[in-house]
Amino acid sequence: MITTQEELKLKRVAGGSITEHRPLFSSDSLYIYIIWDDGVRQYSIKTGKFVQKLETPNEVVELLSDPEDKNLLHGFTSAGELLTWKQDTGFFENKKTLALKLSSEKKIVGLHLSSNKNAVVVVEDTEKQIHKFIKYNLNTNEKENLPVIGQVGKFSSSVGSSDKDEYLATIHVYNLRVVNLNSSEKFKHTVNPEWGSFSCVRSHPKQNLIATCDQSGRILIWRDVMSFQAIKTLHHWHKLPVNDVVFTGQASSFYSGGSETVIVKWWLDGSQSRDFITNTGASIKNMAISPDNKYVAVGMADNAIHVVNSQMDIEQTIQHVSTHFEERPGVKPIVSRMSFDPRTKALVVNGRSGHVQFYSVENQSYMFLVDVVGQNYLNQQRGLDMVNTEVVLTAMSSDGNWFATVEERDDGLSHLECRLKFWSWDWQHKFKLKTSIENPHQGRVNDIAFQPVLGDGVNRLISTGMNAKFITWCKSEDSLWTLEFVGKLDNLVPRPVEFSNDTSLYAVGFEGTLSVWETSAMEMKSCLTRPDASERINFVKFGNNASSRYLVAASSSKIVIWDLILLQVVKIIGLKVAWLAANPMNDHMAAFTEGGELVVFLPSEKAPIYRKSILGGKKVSSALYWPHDEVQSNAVGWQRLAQLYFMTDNQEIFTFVSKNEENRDFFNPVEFPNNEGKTATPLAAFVAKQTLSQVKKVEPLPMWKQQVNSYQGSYLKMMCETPSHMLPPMQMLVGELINEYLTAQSSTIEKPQEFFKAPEPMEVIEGSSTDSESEEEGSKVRQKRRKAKTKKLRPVEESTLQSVAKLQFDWVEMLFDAVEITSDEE
Amino acid sequence: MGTFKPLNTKVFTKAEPELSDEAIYWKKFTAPAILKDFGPIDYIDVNPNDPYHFAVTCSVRVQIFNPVTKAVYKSLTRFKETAYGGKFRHDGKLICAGGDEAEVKLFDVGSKNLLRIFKGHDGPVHRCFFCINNSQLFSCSDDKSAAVWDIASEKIVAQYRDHTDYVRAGAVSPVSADIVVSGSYDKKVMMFDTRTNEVALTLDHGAPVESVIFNKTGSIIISAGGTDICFWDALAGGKLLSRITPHHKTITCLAMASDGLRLLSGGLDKRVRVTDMTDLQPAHVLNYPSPILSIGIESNDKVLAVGMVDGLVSVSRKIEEDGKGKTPRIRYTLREWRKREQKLREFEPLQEADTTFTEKERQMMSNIDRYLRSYRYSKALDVAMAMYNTKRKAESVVTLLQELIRRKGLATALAGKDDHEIAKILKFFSKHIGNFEYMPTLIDATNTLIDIYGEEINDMPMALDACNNLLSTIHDEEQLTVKLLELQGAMEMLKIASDSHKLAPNSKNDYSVTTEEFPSTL
Repeated sequence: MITTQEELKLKRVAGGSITEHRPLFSSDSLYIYIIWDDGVRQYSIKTGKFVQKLETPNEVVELLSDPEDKNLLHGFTSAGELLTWKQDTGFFENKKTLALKLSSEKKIVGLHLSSNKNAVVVVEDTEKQIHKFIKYNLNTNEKENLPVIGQVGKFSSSVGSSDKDEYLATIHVYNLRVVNLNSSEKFKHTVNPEWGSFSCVRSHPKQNLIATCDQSGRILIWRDVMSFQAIKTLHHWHKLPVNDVVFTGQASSFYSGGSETVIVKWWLDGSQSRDFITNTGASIKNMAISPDNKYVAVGMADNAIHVVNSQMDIEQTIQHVSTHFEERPGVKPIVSRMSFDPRTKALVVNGRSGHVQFYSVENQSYMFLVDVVGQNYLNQQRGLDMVNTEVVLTAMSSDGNWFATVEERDDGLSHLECRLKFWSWDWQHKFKLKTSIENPHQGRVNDIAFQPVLGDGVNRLISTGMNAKFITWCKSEDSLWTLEFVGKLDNLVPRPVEFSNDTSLYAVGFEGTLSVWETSAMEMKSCLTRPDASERINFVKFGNNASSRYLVAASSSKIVIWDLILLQVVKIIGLKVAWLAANPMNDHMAAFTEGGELVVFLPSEKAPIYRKSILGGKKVSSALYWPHDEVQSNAVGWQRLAQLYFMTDNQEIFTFVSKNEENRDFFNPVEFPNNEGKTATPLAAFVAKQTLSQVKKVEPLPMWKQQVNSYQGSYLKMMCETPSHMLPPMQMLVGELINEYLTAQSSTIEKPQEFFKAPEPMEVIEGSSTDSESEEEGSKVRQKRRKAKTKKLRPVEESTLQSVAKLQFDWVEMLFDAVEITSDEE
Repeated sequence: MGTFKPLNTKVFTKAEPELSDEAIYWKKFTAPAILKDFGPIDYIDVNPNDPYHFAVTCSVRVQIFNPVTKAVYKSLTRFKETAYGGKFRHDGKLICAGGDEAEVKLFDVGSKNLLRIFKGHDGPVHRCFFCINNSQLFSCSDDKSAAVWDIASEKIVAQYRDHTDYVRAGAVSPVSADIVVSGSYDKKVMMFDTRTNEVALTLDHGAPVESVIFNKTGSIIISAGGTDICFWDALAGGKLLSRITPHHKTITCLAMASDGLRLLSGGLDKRVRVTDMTDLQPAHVLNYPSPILSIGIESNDKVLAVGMVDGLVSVSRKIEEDGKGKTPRIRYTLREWRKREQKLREFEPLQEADTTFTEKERQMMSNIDRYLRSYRYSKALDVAMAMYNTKRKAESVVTLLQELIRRKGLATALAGKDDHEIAKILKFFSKHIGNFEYMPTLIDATNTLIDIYGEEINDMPMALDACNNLLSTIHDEEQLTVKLLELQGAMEMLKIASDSHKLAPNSKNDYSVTTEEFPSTL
């Protein structure tokens, strides 16, 4: 069943930073402009709502207001285009491409505008790792390289003006350089290196004032910088490097912010008094002030922009997908698995540290955050590695009434903190904490899954943990969750857990073994192990609808589909699965591979429904099917009932759309070329990857396994690879083994000699005992005999041998023991 | 945002079940008053009219109590033998009662006069009821019959001898004067129609029927017997609507409450279960000291009286919620009172202004939180230890320690303490390190403490003592753990032995899996 391979495109639904660049207030201080995705977006400060999008041809790197005409808004793109819009109407005015002629190692990172139509283009030299500055006259198109350099960094240069002259201030390690834009006069100020290098600079647009910040958290205010004896005043409160500062219009005060998650307002009246907004929950990346000085927009690391009024209250927050950020160097941020909340129709995924966010995909808007850990965010401190408690797993019950989270804190020094929390939906509080279980697994929790809620109203959750146990939790009458059953399988660590749709069964993957349990009796129904059970199972999914009899298990190199009725493997697909998602509406499953492929398949069908390298190098961190309210007739066949969404490791959410449904939303789809260049038919590719040899190549096998592998008779191989607990009684094995051996022997005469090391039975049949012979002699004799025998054997003799072998089991059994011992030794 | 999240000490406290609306409703009754009588309380009936007197039938009398004063209002004693089932007429002026004398007696409540005696049964009469036309009586007797009487003439109108055992339960339809229901020890519930004088319905309850009632509209018959309560559709030919088993011992009595929305059932398991009539789900449980024989409740829950086997009657009244009662007095703390006063004084109507600012509320927080917020960890620990010394709240110290570990501030907090303080902290550790909830935190804290004071501790006699104590505590804990593990091992062995017995056929199944599927993979 191969449907036509419709052209699908990757479309970004949400995610991406809005705080990479400084926002800009409109000249009437009613709106704020931010750069996001592929355009400039205007938001209202009063309501916090999206107003309009200004289209741009290239990525915008700087937003500026025109120094002369207050109604104009400029955007400067990475291609050197200066775009102009009218602020009141939002109409595009014109585009001016600056003739810069940059060499390939240079890229445009910013622009400053001064009043007399002089622009300063900031260019990053990627080879020398410095910023260079080009003065560009917008009227005459004259350009001039300015004789200063700046360090690489977001805010390492700033344009200001003194009484008559305009200047550019740049920082480079310990030096503050100021260059007069009219006369090209240069001034250099150096600070004591013991305070660390500069982190940012910002000059006052009207007054002769510069603020610089350094790594030690000091803020220096420089006056009269256009002389060699600049006056500086020190403001020190921050403990960590300051990320940005901004002056108020009359220079009576300034704001600063850094990783302390505190917004500080300083007064420049000599009193050194300060106002604070503390515990903002994320570090501050940049700041911008409104023309009327009423508001300061503060860009946060969690992808929010807070609009703060002059009384130091947060008046409005513009929030996109709240991202989890990690301040510790070298630590990757955690992206928890997405789940679907049927009640609010929201995607549920972790947000900023210790929070879970609900994001409405339909309205493309952030809905709310739930504070899961209930602890203050600990910012980094000098010399200390501060570890915050993070949400690592979330699960939502199928009716949306219950929500479970697992939070974890592991600093490597003290005991691991781990908590399993159950939240219930509450109209007033959105989600209310009902039960919190400390350290449910004496270690990490690997997976949690809710039992789908059916008519009987049973609420159950299973968690698997590193203590090699899984626990079922059940809701008691008084809405508290208590332990119901603890299950284990040998000492194997359980990882994925999944309930069947009718809740009668659940499957737990123990390393490479799959176990199926009955929900009502809490008893293990069957234990499914493949002979090569060395690979860990990462995902387990039950088939739905017509595929209900199938259980799909995915490890890092293949998908194994089991038939639950026959307890047989139906199919093995060689795929490096990064994520496996099951469609709740029908029996489709979608596998995302490490190689950036999307494979949609039916457990029952041989061929996949859809297979294409479409991810364009994006790392999938989780994916889910989102049920449509009604059948989408213009969607691709396999997306008609439910849309497939996936989230990348930097918390961007994507989906797949076909050509004819592109216009469903106002967001433009993002296209990615199929860079894999594979043109083979889906089926051909499928078959090619399915070969067993590819799977086997991964690791060098021990000697005995190699021998067994090269021996084509499968029975011996099976015996060696099957876990010992699954082998049948010895009596049942031996007859089959002899049979197998005899047939193999007769049909594979041309096999190389050294692989026939095991067959002692042959010698015994000839009537001699090797026990007393020395090893060397024995092997010689064996070889001789082998040669003789392989030549001698004729079909008649063979059949007699077979019959003999079948008759006499007891002595063969003994011999088999010997075989086992020798293989163990090797 | 912008607020400091205080320490959460709830982490270590036991979860308490949340109060449901139903529980809150049933908690709004006054504390039960206990009345003591001589024998088992056979029957309780509440007068449906204000002031809701209730009649308690017990041994050889029917006593009528005032629910407010709990005093005996009237006592009907004209019985030679045990009386049963004293029941008010709907206007509350008459009362009828059966008894071992095989008679039904009709009394005037006001004058206590015996107005009528209905003779005709051959066995004790356990239950009798006024029909809704108030001119007829319905009685159930141990002579295996149920009878309908004409009050005026003291004559039997109809007698039904269809039961094959004692008839101990009965009910009259609340909508029709012609429909009566009886429940018998022959496990049957029968509905009689006095117009046809025939059995209209026979319902098989499955256990000796102890109590039968109609729901408020007369459409459902509810019968109780054994541990089951059955709901029968009285209109659709006696279809069994539902069967619930709320009790684990015999159910003895049923009553409708909350104007027909709730069903109360009392049983020998000493509990009264409240069942929601809309979905037949258990709503609440009331516990009593003895097995329950009878329940009397006013139809709007004004008075609840429960009679028990040993002669106890528990009486409680619902507290009136509307403004007629007392308004609860608001108690202000001094701080709140001052704040309120200040607000009242300062209140002025807002003038139109460009921008208005409201005063920021200062966040209230405990001393520990205040010190934590300003990074004064040592001080925070001192406060917590001082609080522990007075209030013995170990959880607040442990949560603080955990938070300090989280903030990497424990070393700072523990440093610079003198011998006495360290000894106190160590004493706290050794007392609580055995608590499995506190243990990880306390082990981490002990490690930090030893890191800091490891060398100096020999100069601190008190701390050294405490340290040795801690050592022996840990040693004891270890011993205990080893013993418990041994026990667990022994238990597990037994469990595995029984499990493997069970799993034997399954393991054979597994074998067939591997052999069959294997060739297909090649």
